[in-house]
Amino acid sequence: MKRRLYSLRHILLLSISLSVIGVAYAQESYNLRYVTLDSIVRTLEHRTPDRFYYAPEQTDTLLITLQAETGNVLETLGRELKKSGFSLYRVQQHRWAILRGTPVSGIHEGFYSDSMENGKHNQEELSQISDNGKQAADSENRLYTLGDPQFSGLEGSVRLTGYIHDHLSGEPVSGVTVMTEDKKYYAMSDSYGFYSLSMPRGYNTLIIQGFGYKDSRRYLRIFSDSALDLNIAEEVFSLQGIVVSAEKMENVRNVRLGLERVRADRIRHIPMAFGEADVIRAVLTLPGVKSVGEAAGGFNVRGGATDQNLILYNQGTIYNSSHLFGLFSLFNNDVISSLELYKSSIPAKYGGRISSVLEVNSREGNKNRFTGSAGIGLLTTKLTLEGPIIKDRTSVLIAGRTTYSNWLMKLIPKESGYNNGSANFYDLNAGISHRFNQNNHLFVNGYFSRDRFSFDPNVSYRYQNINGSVRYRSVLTDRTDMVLTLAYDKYNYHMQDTTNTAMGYDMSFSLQQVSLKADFSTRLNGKHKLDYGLNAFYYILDPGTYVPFDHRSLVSADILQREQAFETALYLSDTWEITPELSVEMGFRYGLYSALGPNRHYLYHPDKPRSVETTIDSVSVGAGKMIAPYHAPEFRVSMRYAFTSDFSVKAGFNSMRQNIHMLSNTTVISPTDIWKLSDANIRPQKGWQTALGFYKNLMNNTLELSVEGYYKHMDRYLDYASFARLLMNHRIETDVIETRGRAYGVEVMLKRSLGRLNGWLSYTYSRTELRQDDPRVAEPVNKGNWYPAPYDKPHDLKLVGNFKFTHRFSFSMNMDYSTGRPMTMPVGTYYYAGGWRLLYGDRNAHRIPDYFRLDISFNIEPSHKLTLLTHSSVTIGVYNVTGRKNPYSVFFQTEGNTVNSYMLSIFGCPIPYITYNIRF
Amino acid sequence: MKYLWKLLGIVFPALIWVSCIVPYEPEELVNLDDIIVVEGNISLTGPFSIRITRSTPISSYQYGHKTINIERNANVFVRNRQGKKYSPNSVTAQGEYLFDFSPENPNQEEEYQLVIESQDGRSYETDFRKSRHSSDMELNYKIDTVAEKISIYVSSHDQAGLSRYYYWQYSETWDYVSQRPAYCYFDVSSVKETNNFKPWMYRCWNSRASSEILLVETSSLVQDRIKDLEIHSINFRDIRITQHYSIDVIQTVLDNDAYLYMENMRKNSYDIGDIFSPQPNEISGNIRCVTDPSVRAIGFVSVCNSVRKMLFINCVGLPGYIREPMPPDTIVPLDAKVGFMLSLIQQGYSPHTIDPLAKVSYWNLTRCIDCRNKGGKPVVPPFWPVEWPWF
Repeated sequence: MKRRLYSLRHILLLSISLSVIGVAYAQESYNLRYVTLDSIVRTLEHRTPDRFYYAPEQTDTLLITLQAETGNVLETLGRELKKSGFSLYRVQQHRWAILRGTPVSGIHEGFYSDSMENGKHNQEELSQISDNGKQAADSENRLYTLGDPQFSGLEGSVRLTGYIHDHLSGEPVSGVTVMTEDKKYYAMSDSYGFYSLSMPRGYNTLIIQGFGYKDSRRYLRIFSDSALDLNIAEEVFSLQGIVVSAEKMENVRNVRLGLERVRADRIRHIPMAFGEADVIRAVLTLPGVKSVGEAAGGFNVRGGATDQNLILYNQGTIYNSSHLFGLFSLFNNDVISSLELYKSSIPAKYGGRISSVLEVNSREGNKNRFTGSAGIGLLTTKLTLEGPIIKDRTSVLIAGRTTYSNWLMKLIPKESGYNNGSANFYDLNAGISHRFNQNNHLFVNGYFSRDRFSFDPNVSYRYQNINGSVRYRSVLTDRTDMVLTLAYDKYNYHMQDTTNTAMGYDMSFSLQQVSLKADFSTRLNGKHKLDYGLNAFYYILDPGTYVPFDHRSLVSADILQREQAFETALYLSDTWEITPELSVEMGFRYGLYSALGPNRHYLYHPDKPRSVETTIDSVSVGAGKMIAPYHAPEFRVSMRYAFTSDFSVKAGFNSMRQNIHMLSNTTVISPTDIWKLSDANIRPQKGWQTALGFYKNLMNNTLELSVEGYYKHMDRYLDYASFARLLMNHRIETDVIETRGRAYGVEVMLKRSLGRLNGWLSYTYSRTELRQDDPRVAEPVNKGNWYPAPYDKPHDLKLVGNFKFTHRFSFSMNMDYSTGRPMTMPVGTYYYAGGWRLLYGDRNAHRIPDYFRLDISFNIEPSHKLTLLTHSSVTIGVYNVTGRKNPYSVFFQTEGNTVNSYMLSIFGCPIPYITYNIRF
Repeated sequence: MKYLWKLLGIVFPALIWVSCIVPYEPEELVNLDDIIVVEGNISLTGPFSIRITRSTPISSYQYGHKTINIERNANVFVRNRQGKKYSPNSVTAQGEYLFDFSPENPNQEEEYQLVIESQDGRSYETDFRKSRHSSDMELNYKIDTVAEKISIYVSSHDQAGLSRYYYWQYSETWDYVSQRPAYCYFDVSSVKETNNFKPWMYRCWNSRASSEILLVETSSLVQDRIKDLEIHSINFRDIRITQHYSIDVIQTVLDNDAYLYMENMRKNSYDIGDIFSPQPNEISGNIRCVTDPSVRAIGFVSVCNSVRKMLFINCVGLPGYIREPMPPDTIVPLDAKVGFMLSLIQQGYSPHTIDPLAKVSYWNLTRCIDCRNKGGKPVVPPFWPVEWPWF
């Protein structure tokens, strides 16, 4: 069936079929019926030392029947080829060329270094080859000779490095797999599009695979360490399921556990509320990632709290990742290139959070021509412009997004008290990338976002994120490259309340961070890859400034003392490929952290609950002096053993520390959360995780199955006392409680990355529990016993699917089922202060009803006619198709003489949406 | 684009009900009942009451009416550090133990505690506390014709700056009249005229104690001053402000921990169900069981003095609530059969006027004639100002 489609449509002229249909051979004989030349060549190359060269365009419709013994196989093949008008020509020992027509009488010496297809090179390709002596390889039909031929006689492995670029836009492409044909040697391009592959010296066939890109191959003859840039073309026709991918191998081959990559175009196909493609929402479709509810900002990874995720945007740190109560994230999907989520094995170069790292990078902008896109949805409208300033060297990308979401507020239930409010936001992205030469690149990125909302005319909130980063990437030697990053991040918010004029106030909070990172990567030989570097951070935190709103207010101005801290960390990690089967990544990070003066803090009696009464002393620390240094090593170890090329087992252990804490009296990230730096009274959080995973690719590498189990332990997570006052508290340490946490679970994922039908199905069983067992706490939650965390949802089933009808029309769906989140239930009532009150039982002892949601969307992609001036795409979808009233919270209220219980649904009905995007 | 906007036009109306709050029936309820509940504050300068009740299982309140489980037979007394005891004078039917030992001139600087020996033989104590400072209070109101509401404000000022934590409770009393004055009424078997042209069941009085928990702290202010804090507002269309209205406000100055206890109770009662709402949480009051430390107790008993003020507002002339249209009168001959008239009464009709010449009575809807239908009673409260109508 597959083959018939193939021959009927003649669509994939250059791709090479992996499907070997009808292959049946005994030990010493070949019995192949009606198979492609590729399959025959593959079979022969697998079993014999012979190598074949031919032009796939000429042979792709060729179907050959081959019945032969080992002794006469080449003879038979030659005969069969002749029937179809081809000839088999021996070039030298074990080197064969398959050419159309009768064989030429002689072949000139330079045959291998030229194209097999009589030179299919355009001017551009030739110019790229001459650039800096490095080669860019576009042609699939050419043999590239690399390195110094004097090493040709040697054995052993050599290293090939280079950049992978998008053929049209010239932008680097990350997450692209480059591997040798036997899949033994494998590399993946990083966020700069850089790859580094070690491979055996001599003749090689490289297979290049990337999501959304055409699979392609390059023929190489490599003598010594060399550089080769690869340009790959976007996959326009992806109807056939024969494309080998890419990410498929990643799962099995990568040493790390719990690593998830999602490309931006994949995010676009996940149906979202109001049709807004969103990074954080896409992250939530991954196994092991949960949130408290639909309107929850932030996410929880493997039982970690929302503040335990390090969110990096172009290497800047994001402290509040949500717009509009978490309905949107602050990432504009139009400028995102990819995201990587590290759930378990966190590379040693990252630190400072104990749960996960989410790395989001924006695109660099089209390097070849000016383009742009615009989109309109139910709530937002956005515009992106990009293009070269200096062709092939400097590109710029600017994007803006704004909302007209006030009408949404009117839809929020009246009972919630929010429908009298207003809410809006906007964000801006700007980026410049410059290439000095092949080895030196500079990236400058800026981000600004502002949110404003009010629940009633007298109370308003606003917050903003500012991020700026400069990255300089340099390839120092063939084996070493370096990235220098300087970043500045600021998150601040304001709150105003003028309900009572005499008490009108304006409260603000601000957090600033300057970071400097030097990251190096060195490939020692084929076996070792070292990553090492130094990170330095400087924090300035203004925990609260509380001032009267105007002259009528009696509020006395109050400013909490500024907190400052520095953090430095050195790290070293070695990815050691002991054998092709066994790889180990050993990472070590040593961090030194201290809060800095000027500061005045209190010392408390060590054995009593902290309070004003148990204060024993107060200490003043001078400017720039260390207050309380904390330093400790962190270990990151993971290993992988590949039993076969499509089955591997991995194990890992990670330890992490976190010096900045979020204090929140809500269950979700809200605009009134404050962050707190560790100091003399508040110790850094620490955590460790151990994980074990099994990875198996099924059905000829089209299905990936993975099973990962983990156990995680968290220490000194800051919870707050029931009566805690978190804002404007001069002694916040007296109101917070060090809490212990444990989480464990199993994640099972079945994924099909490419093909007409693609997506993933995942099931997670996980538990997360917290415990306040500090003996100094007078009234610990649930008497100091373990209790479920607010985001503890044991069963979780997620399905994300996309089906392409034609190359322009596709259907997507997204299904999410999970156990309801824990809640605290009343156990009795009593009459007090003029009304019936509820007496609550143990915290989080019950659960709200289960959650189920199904979203669908129908996507109409732009026409691929290149002559068109604009390309528009339309997405029509329905969020929560079944209209299930999914509970966000369940709560009890006494009304008069009765106790009533209610369920709040954020999206209690199907929400249809339409978005329109145009590219020009 | 034209096409797109057309589509949006279809989609938008469909979005009107995005989110909702619906009743929800929990499957299993754990009950923890019979916990002692102590409410009230000790006053050294005047009478005060301590009410002792018991908590009740939540399931019994799922449907219908509930009653307060009162405990009248406990042994309750106030004790100071020196062991001197002050006993209640009486116990009311509502479980209130009424105290007044101000005539004994208790030492203001002394610390006091409440001791309860309950019916089930357990003994409870509060911690020892000193009397709190108290500050004066002023009430005023504003008729806001733009927002169409009457707002009631409280102001308070403590020069010494010692009050800081304020707690208010209030109850309201109002009168209202029925839509149609009736000068006759049905009595046993016939329609009778009222005496002296005084309308029948025309004016009623109703009252309501607020269950709101009103708390404010002034520790973040320059002065210990509450200025025009709105504690209550009533919409013009509300029946409470069609005639005359009075509000009775009690201001109590609390300690920091009593304030936190009440604040937590307020959050558990009212700050729930929102998107950002935290989970409800219990915190302990200052009452503990001495005989069995594992036994819980609810309540916070402070030693403090309350200030009580009343505010009266004449609302005649305000737009008032919207009256329902009355159907045409039903004409009933005065000598109609008793059974017929009784059936009319049962159908919700009452007579309002007698036409002696035509020998008929005019009937209309009882709910427009009898003020008791709207919950009040034709009983004048004792504190009602003399200048306001008493009938």
